[in-house]
Amino acid sequence: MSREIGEVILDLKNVSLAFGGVKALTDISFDVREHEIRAIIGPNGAGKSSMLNVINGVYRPQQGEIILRGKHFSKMNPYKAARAGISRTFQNIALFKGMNVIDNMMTGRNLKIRSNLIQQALWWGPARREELEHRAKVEEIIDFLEIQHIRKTPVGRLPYGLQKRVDLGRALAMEPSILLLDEPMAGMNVEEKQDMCRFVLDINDQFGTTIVLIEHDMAVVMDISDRVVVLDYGRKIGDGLPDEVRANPEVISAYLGASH
Amino acid sequence: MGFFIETLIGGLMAGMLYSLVALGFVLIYKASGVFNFAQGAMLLFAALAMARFSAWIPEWLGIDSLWLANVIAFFIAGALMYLVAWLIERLVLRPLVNQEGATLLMATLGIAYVLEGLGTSIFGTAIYKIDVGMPKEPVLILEGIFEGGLLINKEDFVAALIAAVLVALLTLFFQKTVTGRALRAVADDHQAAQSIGIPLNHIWVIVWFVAGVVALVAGVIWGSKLGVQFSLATVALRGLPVVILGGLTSIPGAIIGGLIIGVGEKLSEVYLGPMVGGGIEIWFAYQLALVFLLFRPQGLFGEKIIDRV
Amino acid sequence: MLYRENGQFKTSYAADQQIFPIAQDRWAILGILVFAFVGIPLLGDEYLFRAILIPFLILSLAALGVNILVGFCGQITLGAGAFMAVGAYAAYNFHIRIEGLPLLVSILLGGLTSALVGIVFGIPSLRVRGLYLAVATLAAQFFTDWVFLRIPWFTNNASSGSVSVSNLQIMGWEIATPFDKYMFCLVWLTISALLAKNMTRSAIGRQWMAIRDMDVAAEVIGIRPLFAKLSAFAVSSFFVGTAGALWGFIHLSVGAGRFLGRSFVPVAVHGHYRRPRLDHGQLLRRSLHRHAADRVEPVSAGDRRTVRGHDFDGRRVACRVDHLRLTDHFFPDQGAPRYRPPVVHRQGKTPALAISALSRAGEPVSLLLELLSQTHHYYFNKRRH
Repeated sequence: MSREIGEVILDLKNVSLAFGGVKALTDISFDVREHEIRAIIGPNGAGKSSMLNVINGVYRPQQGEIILRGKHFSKMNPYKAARAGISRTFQNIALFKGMNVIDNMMTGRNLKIRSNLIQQALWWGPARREELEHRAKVEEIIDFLEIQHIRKTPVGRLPYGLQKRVDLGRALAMEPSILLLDEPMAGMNVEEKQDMCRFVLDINDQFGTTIVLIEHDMAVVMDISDRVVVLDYGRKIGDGLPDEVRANPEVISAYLGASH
Repeated sequence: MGFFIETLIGGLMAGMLYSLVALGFVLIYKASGVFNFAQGAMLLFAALAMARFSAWIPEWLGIDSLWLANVIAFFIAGALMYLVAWLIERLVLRPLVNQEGATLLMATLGIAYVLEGLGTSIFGTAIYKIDVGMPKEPVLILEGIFEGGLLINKEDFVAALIAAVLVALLTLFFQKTVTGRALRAVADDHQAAQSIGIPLNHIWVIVWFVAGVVALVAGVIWGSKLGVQFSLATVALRGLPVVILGGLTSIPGAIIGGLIIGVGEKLSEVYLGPMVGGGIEIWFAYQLALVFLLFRPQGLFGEKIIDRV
Repeated sequence: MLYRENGQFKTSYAADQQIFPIAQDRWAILGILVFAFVGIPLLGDEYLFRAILIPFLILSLAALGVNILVGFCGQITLGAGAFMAVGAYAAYNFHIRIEGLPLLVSILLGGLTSALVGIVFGIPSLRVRGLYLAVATLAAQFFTDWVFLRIPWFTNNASSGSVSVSNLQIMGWEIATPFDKYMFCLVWLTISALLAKNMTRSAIGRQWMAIRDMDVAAEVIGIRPLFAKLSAFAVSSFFVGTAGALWGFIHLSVGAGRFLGRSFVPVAVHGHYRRPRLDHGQLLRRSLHRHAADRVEPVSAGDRRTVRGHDFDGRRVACRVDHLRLTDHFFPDQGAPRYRPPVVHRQGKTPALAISALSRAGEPVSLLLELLSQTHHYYFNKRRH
């Protein structure tokens, strides 16, 4: 592998999250190193998506803190997270259904827009120039994801697999340093999965993006991730290299339901 | 003290009447996911039918009894509301299955126009009376406890009673009957309800008919209070803050909301009004609802909206 | 769609991002503009300008504003009438209270005031959504209605709540004839439409649409809901406010009842616009307001009086004042005021509006329907004369 795994970039300490009486996450700590692919696995309802939601501030944990590049956040919010270079895709695709592929991806460039409302209304100077610059950048990502043929299609009309790809494209348009992927391969057939794996590896390889990935397909997870966290019922039951996790008896019992 | 309680009771009873109007909104929203802007028009239409038929029937049939004429007129008006419900389902809702809420809302605006136009062209545009023998004279009660007693409007009292009974019946209907359960399923998801064999079209006719009957009852009560004329349709505007205060999906919400709005409105008008020049009832109701919404955006009893991503 | 963009290849992003990337669209729009600027002035008569085309343009401008808020930002609002009234009264007050303020500046200031009020009334949208918000916006409607009726300062102590300005001119161009007024409104609308289109195809427009389609995802991408929603309220209220100002200055006088009262729902949902009713009765009412304004004494709530004035054809008519507001009940004035059922009652209004409401949301047919329903009235009114 050409890339080099660096220092810890994102560190979660003792995170607990509850909705009313329901404990979604209990005292979870793990870290993510720069440039690595970190997988979170676990059975349904283990709290994986909640974990991502905590990282980018959609949910506010009752306890614990998030340390991002040495900066402590007891409370993250989505906007801060986006500014700090965290972007994500969604389990149940959260694209803007009324907009076409280009516009969806252009929204990902939002934080980089400098022109103001008046300039935009007049389509004048900086506003016009920026539109063209960002369009060019978005087109690069469109090329990378091989979705040139659908660039002007409203995303609501696209098949599921392509929507997932556009979702990824929108996240990439933010040029994130950390990319959170929530089940990017769910519901895909073998070829689509292979494509998606290739994209994930390429993103990690070419752009050096750190990736936190939730996935159910064990084969995929074990193949592409550097380290794996295992959650079950909101608790961490395993953490380590794929092979270590595979051998962990607790993990085996959680997945197979076997008793010790 | 006596005056305060009098205002309070007046507010509670007015609130019951608002609840009755609000109930029409809630019923349709709960059972078909449509925010029915035509509720006011339905109320007007029903009241017009009732007023006119109760005047025509004695002429046509030569009945002398006002009571009998009213009963017959009520049933004819009810039948008309069934026809309206059937037509709405046939012409509006059926082509719009599974459309967005905003589209359906716009459709009901259209229905409102058609009903208003139809109602006034069939039944005329003059001011008509509905006389169902509601007691008009106010009474004084509890003279022993409060100085001068409490002045209670009997008409309001009877109206509030009718509203309460209707609400109880509807709650039973929704919670305890098979049809009620089917209605709730439809509100949740048109397609899913259809796929498990709930006859969507039939259900819609039922629910719009029930809403029509509620509109009829409300129309009779309000009509006998205010007279039946075009502006009766705006009574629905009094119901709107009630609906959002109580929550769009909750029948108890419509009741409690109605009472809160009724009381708030009357108290504000009496105690706050003179300071700012009066006439604040209607916007105060909306502001009051808005304040509640800021704390509970889904209304007091509405289903909580949870964002899942 | 009758045509497609097959064969029209673009070689630059600039060419691809123009307002109408398809040639046929460009020609069609150009054709419509030429017709509006050249064709209609050749064809139209005074009645057509005054009673139909000018309100049509002004209400289109209001619809543009509502479209931004409801159609693009997804915040359903029923309060547009309030912002029209705010814009109209604000522009009027700036105009009469600041000596020598140019008309153009007054209208713009009216729009800006409306934008500020829009932001205030938009604040609930940060908590409250969908239909709840729609009803909550009615609060704005009823509140402004009350304010303009109760606080005489806003109406410069005109007892009927009705105000008007005479002698309008812009840079030496005196806007006096209906034709001048039509041209002024047309230019204003064209520029506004261009600005609105530019915004919707820029970053701000994408922010609005993102909030509309999926607000959680929008936030995750780095769009601040606060800014996106309130800017939509501001921009929308600006357009609606300028429409109100135009209505007051150019079309006729300003009166709260004009925007509020019974016709309280000028709604455009996804581009569908339901304008306040403009029927014969309303025309009468307007003229009545102008002629009778100074003869109406303030009446207390619940009081009923009769007001007399002239309709457009110079006939004497009378109208009841009910709860501080002129009712729709008109009758020929023959001396003794007596009650008659309303003479005109929105005949023929229903079908076009029903179609407009029923047709699927999101299609840009509203303006056409608007025109149709206006034309319908034109002929209806002609026939009556």
